[in-house]
Amino acid sequence: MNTPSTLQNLLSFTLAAGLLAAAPTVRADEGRPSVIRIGFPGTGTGNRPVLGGAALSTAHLKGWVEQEFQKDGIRIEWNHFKYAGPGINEAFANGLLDFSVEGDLGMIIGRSAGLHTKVLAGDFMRGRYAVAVPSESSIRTLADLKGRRFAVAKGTAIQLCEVRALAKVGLQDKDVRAVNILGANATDALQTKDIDAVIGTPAQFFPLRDRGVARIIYESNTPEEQISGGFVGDENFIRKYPEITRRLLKLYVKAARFGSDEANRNTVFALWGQDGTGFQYYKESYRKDTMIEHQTPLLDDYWVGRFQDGVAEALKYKLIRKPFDIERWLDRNVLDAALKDLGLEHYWTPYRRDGRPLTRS
Amino acid sequence: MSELLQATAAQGRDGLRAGSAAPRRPWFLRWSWSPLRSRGAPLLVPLALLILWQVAAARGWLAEQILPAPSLVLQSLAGLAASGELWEHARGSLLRVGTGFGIAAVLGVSLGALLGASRRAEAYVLPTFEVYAQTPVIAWIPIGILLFGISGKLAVFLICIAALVPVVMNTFKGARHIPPAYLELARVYGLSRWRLFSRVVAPAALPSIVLGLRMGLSQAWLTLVAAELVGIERGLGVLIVESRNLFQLDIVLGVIVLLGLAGFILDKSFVMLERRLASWRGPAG
Repeated sequence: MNTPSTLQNLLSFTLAAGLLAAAPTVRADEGRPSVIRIGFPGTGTGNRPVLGGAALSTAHLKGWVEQEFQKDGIRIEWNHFKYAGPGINEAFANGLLDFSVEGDLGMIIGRSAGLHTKVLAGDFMRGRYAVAVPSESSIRTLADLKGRRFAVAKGTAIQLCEVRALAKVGLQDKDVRAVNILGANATDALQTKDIDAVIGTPAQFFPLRDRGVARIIYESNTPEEQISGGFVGDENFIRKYPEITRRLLKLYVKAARFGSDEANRNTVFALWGQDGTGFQYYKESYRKDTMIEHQTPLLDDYWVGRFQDGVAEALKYKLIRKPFDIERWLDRNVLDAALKDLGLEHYWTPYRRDGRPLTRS
Repeated sequence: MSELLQATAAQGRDGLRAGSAAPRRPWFLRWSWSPLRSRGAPLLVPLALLILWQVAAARGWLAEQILPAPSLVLQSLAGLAASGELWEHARGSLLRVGTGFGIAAVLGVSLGALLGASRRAEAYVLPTFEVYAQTPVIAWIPIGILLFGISGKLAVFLICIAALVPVVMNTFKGARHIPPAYLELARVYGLSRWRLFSRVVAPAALPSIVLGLRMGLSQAWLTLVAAELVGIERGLGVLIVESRNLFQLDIVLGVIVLLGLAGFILDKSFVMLERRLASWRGPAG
C-alpha cells in the first residue's frame, strides 16, 4: 500500500527538479561575452565544419573574426548545422546561438514562430537551385514530376524552391510524392534510384552529373525564384552588446566587399571550395554572374520583396501559421553604421523589387 | 464490505462500544478512500506532470517554441485529426508495424524453436545472434538502404529486426527450459517426437513465446520513429520529423504523447488477447 508520504515525496521531487531545470544560468559578463556563437546552415562534404557561399564564409575561412576579438579575449564558436534552418532555429530558441547566416525559409519559419531575432544584413542572395534525376530517368521536364517521388529538405530554403518550381508547371506539393531527405542522403538516393528526383543546389549535383549518375533537368534563372538569405542575430545579444555587434558586422561587410570584387573571384572560389565542393564546381555554379549580385549585404527593395513573397508562399502552403511584419524584423542601423565606418555607402547599388539595379539619376 | 470492517475497527479503536451513541464524523472522514486511491493512483503522476507542464508553459520557463502550452498541443492535434491528416499518417505507421512485427513473429518463433530444439544449432548460431541483439537498430540503416533502397521496405526491415530479438530469445528460453519432469514423463509414456512436441514442448513453451511476442510488439512500436526517418512519405515518425523541421513542436509533442498512448493500448490489448487464449486453452495448459 503506497503511503501518502511517498507519493507526496514523488510530487515534491518532480516539482523541485522542474524548478531547478528552469533556473536561469547566471553569467558574469562585465559588459562583454566570453564567447560569440555563430552558425552556418549546413556542413561541408563528410560533415566537415566548413561551408562556403556566404560573406560570413569568407570571414570565417580568413580568420578575421578570431583576429578581431582576440584582443578582448572573446572566443569564437562556429556551429555548422547539418539540418540547416531547423537546426539553427532550435539553437536560437534554446539560447545556444548568437548570430547565424540562414536561408530564407528557415528565417521566416523561425520568426513566424516567435523567435527573438533581428536581421542585420542580406546574404546568399540569388542562390540558384536545381532539380536532378537519375541519368536514365524518363523525366525530362518539371511537369514530368507529377506523381513521382521527389526528395526535398523540408523546412529549409530548398522547400520554398520546391514550391516555386512546381508552381511554374501548375503543380503543387500534393501532386508529387515529396519525401524528406537531407543533403547527402538525397544524392545517395539518386544513385540507388529510389528517388525519382531531387531538388538542391547545382553544386550538389555536379559531381554526380560528371560521374554519369544523374542529370540536371532544371536550373533556376530568374530573380523571383532564386534563394535569398540573411545574417541574423539574437535580439538579446544585440541589445546587451551593441558594440560587439557593430564590430562583427563591420567584419561581415568587409568580407562581403572582398567577395563582391571581381578581382577576387577565383580566390573566393578556392577559399569556399574548402568545404569539399572544390574550386571548379564553385566556379561553374556561379556561371557568368557578377559576384556583387550574390554578395550584396543590402536590405534593399529586392531583399524585402523576396521575403514578402516568401512569407506569402509559406503562409499559403501552410509552412507557417501566421505572418509577421518584416520591417520590424530588420535592424538597418547596424548595417548602415558599418557601411559608413568602412566608407562603403555607395559601393553596392540597391536593387529594385524586380531585381534590377536602382538607376541613379 | 471493507468499508464496514474499517468503520467497525475505527469505532473499536476509538474505544466506543458498538451501539453507543457516537457523534457521526463528516462524510469525507467516514467514506473509505481506498478504492479511489487505488484506481486513481495511475492518474496522479500524469496529472501532476500536466499541471507542471501548464505552469512551465504559462511562466515561460522554456522558450515557447521549445515547450508549447498543453492547450496548443491539444488544439493542433484536434486540427490534424479533423482534417484527416492524423489518420493518414497513423494508418501508414500501423501498417508498417503490423507487417514488420508479423514477419518477426514468424521468423522469430521458428528460429527460437530451432535454437531451443537443437543444441548444435544453439552452439553455432546463438553467440552471433546475441551480438546482433546488442546492435542499435539505427546502425542497420546503411545496410538496409543497400538491401531495400530508400522505401517503405526499409522501414519494415528495421522494425522487423528490432522485434526479432525478444521473440527469438523468449521462444528459445521457453523451448529450452522445459521442466525435466515433463520430458521424463514423456519418455516414460514413450511419446513419438511429434506428440512430444505438440503435447509437451509447445504448451510448456507457449507462455514464454507469448511473452516474447508481446515484447516484440513493444519493440516494433518503439522502433517506429527511427524506422521512418529515411524516405517515408506518410507516418507518425514522418509527422514528428517534418513538424520539427517546420518548428511546430506542439505537433511533435502531441504525436509523442499519442505514440506512447497507442503503444500502451497495443500492449494492453495483447495482454487481453493472451488471457482470452489462455482461458480457451484450459487450466491444464
